[in-house]
Amino acid sequence: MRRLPIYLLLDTSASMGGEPVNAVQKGLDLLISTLRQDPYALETAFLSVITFDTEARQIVPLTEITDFQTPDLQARGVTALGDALKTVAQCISTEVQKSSAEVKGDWKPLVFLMTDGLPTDDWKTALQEFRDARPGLTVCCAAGPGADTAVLSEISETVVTLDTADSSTISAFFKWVSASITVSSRKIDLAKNDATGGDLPPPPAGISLTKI
Amino acid sequence: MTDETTIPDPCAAAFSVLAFILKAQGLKAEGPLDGADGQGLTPEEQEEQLVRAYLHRREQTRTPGWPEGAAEPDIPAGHAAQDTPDGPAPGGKDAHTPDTAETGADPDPEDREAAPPPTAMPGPADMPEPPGAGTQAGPVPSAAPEPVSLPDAQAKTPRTAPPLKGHAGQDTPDDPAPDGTDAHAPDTAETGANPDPKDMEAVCAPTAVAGPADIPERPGTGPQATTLRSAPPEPVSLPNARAKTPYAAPPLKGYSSLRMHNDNGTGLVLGADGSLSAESMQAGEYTIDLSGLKDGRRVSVRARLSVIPRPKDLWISIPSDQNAPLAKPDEAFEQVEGEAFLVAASTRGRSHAREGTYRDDHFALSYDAGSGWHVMVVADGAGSAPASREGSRVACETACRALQTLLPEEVDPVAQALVQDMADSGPGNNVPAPVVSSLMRAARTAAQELEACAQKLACPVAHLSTTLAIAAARKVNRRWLLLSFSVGDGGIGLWDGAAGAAVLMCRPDSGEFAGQTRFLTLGELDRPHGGKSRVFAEIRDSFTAFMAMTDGITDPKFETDAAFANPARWRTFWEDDLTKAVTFAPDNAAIREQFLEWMEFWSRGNHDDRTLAVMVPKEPAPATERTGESP
Repeated sequence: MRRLPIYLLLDTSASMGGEPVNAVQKGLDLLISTLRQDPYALETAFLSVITFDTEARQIVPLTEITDFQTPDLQARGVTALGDALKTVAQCISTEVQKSSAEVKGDWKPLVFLMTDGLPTDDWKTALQEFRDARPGLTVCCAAGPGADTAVLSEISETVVTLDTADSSTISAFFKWVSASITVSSRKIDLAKNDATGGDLPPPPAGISLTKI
Repeated sequence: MTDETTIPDPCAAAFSVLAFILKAQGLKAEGPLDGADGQGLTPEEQEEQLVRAYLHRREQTRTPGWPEGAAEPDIPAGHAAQDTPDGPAPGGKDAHTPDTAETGADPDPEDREAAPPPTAMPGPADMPEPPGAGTQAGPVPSAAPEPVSLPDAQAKTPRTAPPLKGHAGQDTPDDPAPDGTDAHAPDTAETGANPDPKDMEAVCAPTAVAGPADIPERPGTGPQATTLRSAPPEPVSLPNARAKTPYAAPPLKGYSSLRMHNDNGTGLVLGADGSLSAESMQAGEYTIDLSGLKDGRRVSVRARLSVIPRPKDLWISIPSDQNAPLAKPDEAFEQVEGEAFLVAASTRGRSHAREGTYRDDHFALSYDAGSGWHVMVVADGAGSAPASREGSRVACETACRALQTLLPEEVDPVAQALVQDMADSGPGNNVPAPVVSSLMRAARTAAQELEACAQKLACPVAHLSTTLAIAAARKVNRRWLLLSFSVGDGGIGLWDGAAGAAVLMCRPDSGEFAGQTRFLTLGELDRPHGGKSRVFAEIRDSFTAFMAMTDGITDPKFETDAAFANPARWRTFWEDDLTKAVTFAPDNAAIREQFLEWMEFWSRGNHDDRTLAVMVPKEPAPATERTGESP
């Protein structure tokens, strides 16, 4: 079975403390329960959560939706975006099955990156590692006005901006991520092709989608 | 780097729990005050006396194996609810637990939220003598005095709140319990107990008696109720369950004497060992309310449980509208008998069934007794093309019909020589020109018909996009001449079980162009490698089965092109899978049911339409053994 790997890179720096990180936590719950209702996602989507603050950690390895349990998020530290990119690159290279003559590999992973601030480490060299891991559709989310969209638009051609990092907007973002995953898992099932930015559903109010 | 302020300060909640434990422990250790009969005592002192008496009697009657829920020592029932100072208890005993709401000993919910009780706290059994206790009573009696009668209900004077001491964050004046019974812990503030942990270890004398966990747990009464309510439930996550599937979670770690207070409709059963199990649950997200002993303390536990739907339950099936234009039955079956037995079935994929949309696949079978040609054609309409179900039908039927003219016309005149040439030149030979020509012309005819059809429907020909796979065979001098042609994914293969040989009779259109399915168009046929290389020819003295299938079959059953050419996979597919379920014989009256049922096989992540056409040579047999063709 060809899996659809999904990597969620979540900024858990101190600035996300309080309402934003709680909203992200709830958003994860919402995301997973939504995906469980969708037969395509339930069968094909595999989810991993990588948080980054002063350093990045894969707190949930690539796990099928059926077994996924929402992790506890704690906000602290600074914004090691580069470490996050490096970590996801390593995870992709170890966890995602490559195609071979005998085995059809996994679909290209979807990457959703959410941050509310400026990177505090060297993200440019990490970006190259990230690209070398050949991720599929990558969506960067600037959570609130403090995020650096210029940096994010270098990481991906698809950037969504949350007007504010309040709980309702973050919740809306996770709903949109759920819809994106659902649509993508359905698309690859029918078209037998990796998901692309064209498969993304329109974002809800409060969230703007920029495709470069 | 770590933001220290986000780390909860354990002190507030910990001390509220600790203080209560200490107070109770202290009172119990001291026992009832000598000579105290309730006379001349303040209401607070009376209450304290009551608790002392209770705790003492409890201590006396307690046996090590006192079962939970067994008859407990005489306690002032409902005393917590009797908050009215001048309301004597029915038994003439005014039973008051010291009111913590008034003392404010029940911490603010906000504080509780932020400060879960630390797990490493010493258990109540290790409680030291409260520092404040010495002011009221003597040292711990080694042999506790006999229980004394409870003080009379004399509390006529309004109670005043004892002074609040040494308690941060306890300034909420009133914090009624959720059920309104106003259950309160004894006044912990009065002990002033904020003991140094070192002292606690030094002083603690292990006893068989624990603190709050051993206090009766009648709902809404007694200090226990307070303990349960005042601490936020400890969140735990149970392993995910699958809907309608027996479930068993291992015992929760870190808790003993678990009790379940609310299964929230899951039907979960708590085992004696603390395991949770259920025979069958409905899909959903649940929280299960439990309580258990943790470090000797009864704590409430909120267990999260996700019951995951079974994918099969989410794949609903909605019949397609059979009255709409271009309607197509959701499944099809056909069998044709010639010198070989031809069977084909096509079923709608779950992805279409779920949305009530049409099957895009199609097939056509034919046998011409005059020429002896057997033809099987399968096609898979592109999921993205709105009228592809019609495209696949048109392509199949056109190609099948055309071949019954073209093959006799082009191949038959030279068939004998052609078969001889092929046999002489051995494997790897070039496909004879008449074969290429006839199959290509059939494909071209089908592609032209698609264009004509598009004109009729006034839609772009791309709306009819379909793949095409043709398998044709006839007997030539007791040998089988087998031909094939394909555009797009799907597969055609020849399986000879006796020889253990699988012959791939299609060009893998995926792989090199992974994910880029090609469709039957005139342009595709005119491409430099679009024609000839798609035609295959084979001669065999015998074979087990010749098959054409869409990717709804190849993807789940063979997965890759390499596997499709692997004899081991073919043997498994034919011997252990398909013919286990389906008997390919003309006299099998149940073949339709068998085949269609097999087509419904479950394969995770594979929900495309499925079409499989199978040709099995008939054993030379007397005609009497042939049964008629089924309806």
